[in-house]
Amino acid sequence: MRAGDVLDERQVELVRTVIEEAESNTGLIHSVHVGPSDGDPRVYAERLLAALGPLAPYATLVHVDPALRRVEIVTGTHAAIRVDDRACALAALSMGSSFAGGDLAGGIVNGVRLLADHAGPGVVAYGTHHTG
Amino acid sequence: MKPLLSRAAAVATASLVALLAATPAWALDDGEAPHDSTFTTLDVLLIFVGIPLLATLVIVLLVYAPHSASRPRYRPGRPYDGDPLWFDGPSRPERALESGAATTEDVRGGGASASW
Repeated sequence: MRAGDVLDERQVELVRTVIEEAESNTGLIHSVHVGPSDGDPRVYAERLLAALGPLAPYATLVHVDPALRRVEIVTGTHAAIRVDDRACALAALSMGSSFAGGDLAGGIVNGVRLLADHAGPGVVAYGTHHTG
Repeated sequence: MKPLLSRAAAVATASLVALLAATPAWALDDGEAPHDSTFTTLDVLLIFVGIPLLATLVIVLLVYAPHSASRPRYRPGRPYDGDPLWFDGPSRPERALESGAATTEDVRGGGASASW
């Protein structure tokens, strides 16, 4: 996967590290998608979450659409118990304000950390095996 | 264009005034022999035009080089023309999106969104 024109390699590596940290701390999957939405961003974010397959209930999915200037956070059925909608709204707002300043990597990192902090420590339910 | 023109005019006037103010310096000293001068027009040009130009160039480079070196940067409002990036997503995104399409309602527990 090419980093596109918005994140350099160092930033991609940073986001990866932060996501790994968040996952090992919370036991939830923290998936982040950056790219254009196919249709409505909210519906697309839900499709992205569903695409995680058996991991979806244990996942929070952040979908960032730089062109539409929109960030969508969707939580799986189990993850929603740990990360409620207010925590999602806070993370989304925080990310949006970073993005507005042109800081894509910083926004993602802060958002994921907020979500993970809110979820609190937990056991890895599924590990981080990828589906697909 | 207009501010650029007035700026150029200001720079030209300022340098001309400085040059004119320095005209007494061009007057010949009693002991100075005009023909023995090893200071040619080219030397003067090099020292008083070449060096400032070089200095300006170096400063401009120092100001703009680091900025253009950190190329990949998101700017709000610009179209996104990169490939989608999916951190911790499925290894084959297209196939996973297709197979996950049927179960959209079942997986969603909550969420939020924001615009910027």
